[in-house]
Amino acid sequence: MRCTLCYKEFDEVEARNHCSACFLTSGCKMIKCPNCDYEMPVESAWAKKVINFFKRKKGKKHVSH
Amino acid sequence: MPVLEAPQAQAQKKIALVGNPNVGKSLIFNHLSGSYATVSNYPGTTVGVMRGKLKVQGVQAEVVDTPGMYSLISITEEERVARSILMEGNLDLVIHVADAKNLDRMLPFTLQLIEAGFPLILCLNMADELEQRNLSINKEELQKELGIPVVLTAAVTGKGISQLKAEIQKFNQEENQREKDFFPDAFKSVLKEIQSNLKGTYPIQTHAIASLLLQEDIEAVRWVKENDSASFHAIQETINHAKTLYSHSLQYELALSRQKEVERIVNNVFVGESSKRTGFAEKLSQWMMQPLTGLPILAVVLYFGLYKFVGVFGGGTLVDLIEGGLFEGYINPFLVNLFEKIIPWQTFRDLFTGEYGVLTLGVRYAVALVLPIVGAFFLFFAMIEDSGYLPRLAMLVDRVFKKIGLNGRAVIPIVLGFGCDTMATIVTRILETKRERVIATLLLALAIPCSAQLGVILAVLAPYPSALLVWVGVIALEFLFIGYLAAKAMPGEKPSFYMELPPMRFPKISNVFLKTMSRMEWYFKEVFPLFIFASVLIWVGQVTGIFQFLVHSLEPVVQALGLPKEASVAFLFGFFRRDYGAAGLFDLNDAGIMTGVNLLVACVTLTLFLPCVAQFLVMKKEHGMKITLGISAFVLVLALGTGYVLNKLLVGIGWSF
Repeated sequence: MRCTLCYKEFDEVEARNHCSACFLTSGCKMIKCPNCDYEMPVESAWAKKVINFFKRKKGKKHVSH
Repeated sequence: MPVLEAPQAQAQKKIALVGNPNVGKSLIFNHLSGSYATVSNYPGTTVGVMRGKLKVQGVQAEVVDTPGMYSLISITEEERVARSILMEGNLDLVIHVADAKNLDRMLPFTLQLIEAGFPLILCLNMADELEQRNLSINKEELQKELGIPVVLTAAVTGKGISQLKAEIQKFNQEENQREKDFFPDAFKSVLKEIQSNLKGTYPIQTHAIASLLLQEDIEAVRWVKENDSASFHAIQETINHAKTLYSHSLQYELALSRQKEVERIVNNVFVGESSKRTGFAEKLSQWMMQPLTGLPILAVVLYFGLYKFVGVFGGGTLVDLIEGGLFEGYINPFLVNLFEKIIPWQTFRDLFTGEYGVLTLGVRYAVALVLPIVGAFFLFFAMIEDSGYLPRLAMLVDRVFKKIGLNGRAVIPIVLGFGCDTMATIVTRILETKRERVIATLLLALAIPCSAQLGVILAVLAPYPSALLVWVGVIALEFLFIGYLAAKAMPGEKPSFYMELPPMRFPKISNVFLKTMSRMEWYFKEVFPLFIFASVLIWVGQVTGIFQFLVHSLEPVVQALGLPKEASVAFLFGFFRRDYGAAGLFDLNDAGIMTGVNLLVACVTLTLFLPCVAQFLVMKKEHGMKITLGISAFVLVLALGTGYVLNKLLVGIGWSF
């Protein structure tokens, strides 16, 4: 995913390891950017599905044109 | 002599591909190495590194695809691995793969690599996308500027790969590795002085080591301590002296000067319309960071984003529609009727549909009051984030924050505090010193309202713009004044700050949607069970009489602030959660029992009021019980004291809103 502050891409799993020392790690819904330490919530699964749905629709529209 | 030739006569050479993530490095690697590659973890890490045999006629070499890196100053484990390969790999050739479309963001790293003295080829990939945008790069001019070979490729289609292979074949290491730097004159004397003290053997050019030392790179410091321990003290003195010459950190000053050099080169070599667009974005970026222009921009952003959108629209229009229209008009009356029929016992019925019932209060607060307000706030926040404004805000406030013992980096926990102070208290860990962490924790507990609290305050004060201005003034003043006193009480070194700036951009709808929904989902999942739990707790308190006792105990306190005694409920809620207390304040305003002065005093006091239970526990975990109790006691006295003085002052001068 991409950090919303410094805009750098990082791996979610790697980011999880980055904050493994935190006492709130278990059940934590936040992701910390390994580059700038900014925290953001885990991307919503259903919101991602909505975006993908519209992207697919847009893609089909382009093909049909 | 071209060193990459004559395979029979020489041992196998080493070539590394470096560059930012997502620039097509792996595709270039595949083109160069064919299909045979091995992946193994870099020793002592979990980072995988791809290695293959170079498929270029006449050259026998191993080619390594390094993990993505943005600069020689490494932060992540991947970057550390990539840097180790660069520094310790005895490389015969480094190919910097960069995104041709974003030359201005790629070249700072190229300049670093050249300064470090790596034998370098610049491979500008994604040239096809550049063409699609009717843009082009004057390759010959860029080669002249940088003094290294430049190749344009489109790894997806394979275009330019043969030229890249040809450049590898004819690469002349000695010619390429001459000492070159892009530092401004102001830094040259400092770098020369440091360089003159570097006598040991280093993996890169000593002027690049000197530059890394100026940027306080930990590994460079370690190398110098090992190789030039005798002159380390003198070097440190030179660096300390250089620090006094600049208001910002040396890392920032160096990056700024490098960026200026990059802009000059890009303007020289880029052909097409985009330079005009880049020009405006760059100007806007500079305006945002200069106090004279940055502060008015900030005021406009806060006025339209926070006041108009979150306060008036979110806290006013949306809440009126959902809470006033839907819940009070239909849902709550329906639930009250329903529960009257199915639960005959008043006490148990109160648990669900009483004054503080789980459904009539807990669900209503969470769904109809807090969610629309934080939703509006998160939408505004996502647009700010996606535009690239936040890092520029950090640079803008860096100077002010230094006066209160912090630096621009503290913008991260402070801004996150507007979302949730508890989470932000944990994020203070990113600050370098304990002093900074304690000051930031204190300021978060004192003067940073969480999103729901902020939204409710903006909504209830929106009809009284002058009251809102007083609220902003009091909170900002306390934030700065208490920060200043705390910095004086806890003297320490001025922390330096530098942040690489991402490009300015128009927020993308899909990004904004994803960020807003992710935050709303996270907030709702956290807040909903707690609001239900609070309602149950209040019900238990009512049944046992503890709730009434606590409310009565707080009455003299709120009355001393000039508030009606009913306001003690909102204060009691505020102990539990800031947003819950804010929602209580909203109900009081709805009931029409508060005057304009009352509302202002309550808003100021509740903003400065004690941290909620969760924030208190996190503070204890982070800083220990002594500091937490100290901060809490200080915040409580200051909040009530400010409320008391403000009320007396407003009543005394007969101010009404």
